Amino acid sequence: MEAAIMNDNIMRVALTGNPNTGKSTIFNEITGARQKIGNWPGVTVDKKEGHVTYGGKEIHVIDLPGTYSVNARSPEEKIVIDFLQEQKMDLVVDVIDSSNIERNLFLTVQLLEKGIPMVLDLNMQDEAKRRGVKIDIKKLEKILGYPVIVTVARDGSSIKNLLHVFTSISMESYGPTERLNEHIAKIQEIENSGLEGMELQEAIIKQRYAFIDSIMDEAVEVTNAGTSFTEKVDSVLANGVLALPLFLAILYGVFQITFEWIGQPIADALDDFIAGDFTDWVAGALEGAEVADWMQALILDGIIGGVGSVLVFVPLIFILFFCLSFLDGTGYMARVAFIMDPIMRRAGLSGKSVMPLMMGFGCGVPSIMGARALDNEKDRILSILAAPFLTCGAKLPIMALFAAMFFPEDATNVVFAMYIVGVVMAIVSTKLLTAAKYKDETATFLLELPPYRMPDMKTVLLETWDKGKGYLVKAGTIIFAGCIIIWFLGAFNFDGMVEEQSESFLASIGAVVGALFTFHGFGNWEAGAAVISGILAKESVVSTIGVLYGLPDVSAEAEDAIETAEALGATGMAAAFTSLSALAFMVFSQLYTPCVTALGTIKKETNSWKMMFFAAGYMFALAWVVSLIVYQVGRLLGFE
Amino acid sequence: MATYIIGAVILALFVMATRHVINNYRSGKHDCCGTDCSGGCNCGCGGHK
Amino acid sequence: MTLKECKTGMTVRVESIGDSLLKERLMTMGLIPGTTIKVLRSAPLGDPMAVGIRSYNLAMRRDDAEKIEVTQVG
Repeated sequence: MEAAIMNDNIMRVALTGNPNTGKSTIFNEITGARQKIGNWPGVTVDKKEGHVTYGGKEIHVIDLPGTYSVNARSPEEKIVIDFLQEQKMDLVVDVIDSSNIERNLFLTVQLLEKGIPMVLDLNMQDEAKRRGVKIDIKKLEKILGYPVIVTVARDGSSIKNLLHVFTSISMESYGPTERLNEHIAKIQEIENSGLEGMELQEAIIKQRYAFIDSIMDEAVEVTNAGTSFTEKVDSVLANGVLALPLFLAILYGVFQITFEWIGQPIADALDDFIAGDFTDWVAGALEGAEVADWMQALILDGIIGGVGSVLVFVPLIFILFFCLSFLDGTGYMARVAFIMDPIMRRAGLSGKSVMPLMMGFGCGVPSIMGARALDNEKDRILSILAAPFLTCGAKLPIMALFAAMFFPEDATNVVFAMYIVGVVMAIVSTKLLTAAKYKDETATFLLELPPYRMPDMKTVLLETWDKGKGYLVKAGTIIFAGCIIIWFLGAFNFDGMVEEQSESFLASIGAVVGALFTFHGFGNWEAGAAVISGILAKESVVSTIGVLYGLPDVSAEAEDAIETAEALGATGMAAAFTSLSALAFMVFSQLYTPCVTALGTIKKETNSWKMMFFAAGYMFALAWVVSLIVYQVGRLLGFE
Repeated sequence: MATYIIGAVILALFVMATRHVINNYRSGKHDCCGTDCSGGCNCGCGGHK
Repeated sequence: MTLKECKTGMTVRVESIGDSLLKERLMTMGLIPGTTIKVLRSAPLGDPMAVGIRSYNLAMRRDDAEKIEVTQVG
């Protein structure tokens, strides 16, 4: 009894609907930052929940995965139908893209057949109007017997109206009409008719569309089916061979914004601050407080040197994620999958792999997880195994540092070349694996091309923050702890503190690993130590080098490169590598075993330890071979 | 004196950082995350706070 | 003829859909016998193709389109 009274003030609302209906935008607009993303038990599908207070009521909102139907063929569909049938929600809102109501109604009708009472939310009204779709709301309510409301996803008053409906509607006064019941009876008739398998499904689907067609005839009027904005844009961006250079240009634009126009200048300012004023201030304060010399070294070289070298790249990562989220919000990413499919298919992948793989330029983890969206096992595994070859945000500092140091004149080009090496190896590796394992499997490709839309800024910013904050947290935790450990390992051995790092624990451990790279030109213990720590987190390669060589600030920008290279030249790093061995080291870093987090994700996504160990070993071996070839061929060609 | 105080602070931070990493590992969480493509796929990141 | 052979700009009506992995999904998404399809464009090298059905656009590979029997209506 008491529980019932308490529940009076908490309302539970579930959002359901097709993909691309603006459902997530509505969810983000309603809940803002008051949301958390979890996991549905047992499956790797996002569970998004949030809450909001309106009119003195606490409203809990759950955003169910977007699905076209609830046949329970995919984990998402199963989640939706199980959730709606098992959980007693106060309100279920079916978000419908008004401009595409015909197909959207399929899910609606299917859910109504299962006896789930719903509010139909005709979203994207503005778009529907532009496309000449006119829906008679009263008539739609009368046909189905359930309340119908109208929204424009990004419009503040729409959201308010929606919240008002949430708190004021009483679902008890609604129920199926005779007409809906007739349809349900027909479906049951078909189910009991003795048909089986595909034939049964076919008959049911036909009956549903027959019902939808009758609704369309009466309640929806479509006029002026002229060429829409989306069609016009697509006739350029997704049409024939021209689409590919345009895609490259857009990608180039994203990298320009990230590395030239916005991201890099902020990164440089941050770099100046950390390595300049901040370090000076800390050094002065420590000196003034008469802190022991070794502690000063730990803080300045170990912590600030190590963590700082990673923090500097955070602005780049946020800007890159912002651009990718923005592009995703426009609907362009679906076109990328479409125009890249001919190429990806020849490499043994699907065009749909491009979307998750592009995330790999930010971080391998979401990239590996993004492979879930792919249609079959083969595409998923191949995409998961291709993602770690790409230059993630954590590898970027490695490339930027070595390029600035050993190729000051061509730093940007060398970094770009490393991106290309990653992409080429991802394709080569996929080809190898396809030939070895998936020779005869055929794959299908079916993808909705949603209308172009102006992305909802709130959604873009939430996504950017969600993805980018991980780097901040990592810098403060795993990188921070790693730097301290590396510093201690580099400063001590069994006899206590060492005069020379070359006598330390780290030198002994690094030397063992370093020996593997004798023929790669970087068989020194420092490189060995960096390689080991890179498996912890790729940022550690740079922070370890930062700690070991006591690097001053490091900039990826070409103008500063010469200055940076001079500063680095004074350290031991310049002597430890030649240009060629530095290149070999960059290639190795680009390709070798992914970080433990990525490995853990591979295990989780494939549900196989074997796959994880295979990935770790296979990538190390591949990197070792390719890097060896780079060094040895380079030497034969007379490079140093 | 200052050495001890700063040392203690760093030690505390180190322990917190390490615990975060270990807890993440145990519960299968990770900090680096996010893939909510609105492009019609229900991919996404699970298990992070 | 099949949808695979259709050229850009053609409008066709679905006659039947042969058995394939995609059959149920295609039908769920509104591609059933009787549905009108407009062939919109194709990706570089002509495959996959984009078609308009029931006021939205869908991309599919030509190999999958081969399973769909159609007749031209415009």
